[in-house]
Amino acid sequence: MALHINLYHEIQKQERQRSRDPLRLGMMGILGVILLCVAYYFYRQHEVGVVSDQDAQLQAEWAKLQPQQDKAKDQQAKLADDLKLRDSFNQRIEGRFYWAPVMQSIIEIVPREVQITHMSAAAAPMSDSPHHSSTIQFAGVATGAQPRTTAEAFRNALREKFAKTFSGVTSTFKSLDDSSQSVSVSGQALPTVSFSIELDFNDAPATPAK
Amino acid sequence: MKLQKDDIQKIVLAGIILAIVLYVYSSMMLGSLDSHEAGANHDIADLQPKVLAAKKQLAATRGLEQDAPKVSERLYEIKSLIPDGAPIAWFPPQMKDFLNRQGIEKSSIKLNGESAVPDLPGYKVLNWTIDLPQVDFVSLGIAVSALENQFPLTNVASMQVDAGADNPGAQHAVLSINTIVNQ
Repeated sequence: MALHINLYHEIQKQERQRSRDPLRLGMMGILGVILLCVAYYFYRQHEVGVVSDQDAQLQAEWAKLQPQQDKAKDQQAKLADDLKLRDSFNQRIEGRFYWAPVMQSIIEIVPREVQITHMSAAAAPMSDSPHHSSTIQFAGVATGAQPRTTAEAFRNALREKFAKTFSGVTSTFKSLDDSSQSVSVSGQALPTVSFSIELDFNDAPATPAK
Repeated sequence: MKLQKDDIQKIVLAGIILAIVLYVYSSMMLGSLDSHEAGANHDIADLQPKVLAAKKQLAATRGLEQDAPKVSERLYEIKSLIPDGAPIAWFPPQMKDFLNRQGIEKSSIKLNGESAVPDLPGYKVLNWTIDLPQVDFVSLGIAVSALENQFPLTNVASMQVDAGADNPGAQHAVLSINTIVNQ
């Protein structure tokens, strides 16, 4: 076995000591930490950049939308007022009580043996519904062989006629008195009665009879 | 390996430098980023609902604007039914003309009173009495029907009809009517 003598062991020892130099190792560690910090800083900067972009985008959108929103609010208020006004007008126009069909019905059912001498009629809005409550008072004279029967038939005819169109129909005699006057019908003198009838109804549609 | 005093000093110095660098890094660099991010997040949280509300507002207004022409047209139609000027000056002649066209020549129209209409700001209701001393019931019915059709802002509140004493064919009628006019 050949004898091997390391003449450089001192130099190698110094080299090893230098590579294990704590200051050098420490500086390398610090450099590593700094590099990590710098990398993390750029990562965070990117993240914050994304958020900032989103913020800037929203700011720009808001700057554009805010005046439009203010204008839209004014416009909406005006349109809502117009809409409300139109609806109120429509409600008033369409919610009126129409007298023409009532008068038509009266014309149709007054027989020739009955003469209406006075009629007063009024309609008022009902508090609990969009309909109107109406009252018509008739005063008149009825004649015929049995004038009371004629008056009664007229009262019933009023009730039946109006019940076909309206709700809550009631027809009641307020008075029914024999009269001393007689009338001549087809050359025949017939007795008369004077009557007063009150007809109450409302303009809600009639409910069909069951 | 044994550390020399000189080495220990260098290590301590390096540690101090590292601590200072880390402090500056975290407080100034990262801290600045964090505060910037927190500010941006706060702005976003603040703006997002506002932007959403604004978009909803614009959509709602656009929805209403689609109906606006119809609403305006209807309101124009209704408003054009009310002549300009004092109602006492235009309503009685207007009614007299109307009644004449219906074949009712004798009439007198009087203003009875007025009332406010809460649901129609800028308008009021006037109550008139129309006295028709000679009218037959059928003509009256036709006239009332025409009135209800031709004057949508007018409604008959009540009526009274009395048979004529000497002429049963000619009744005396009194109508109480309401009409909507400008305030």
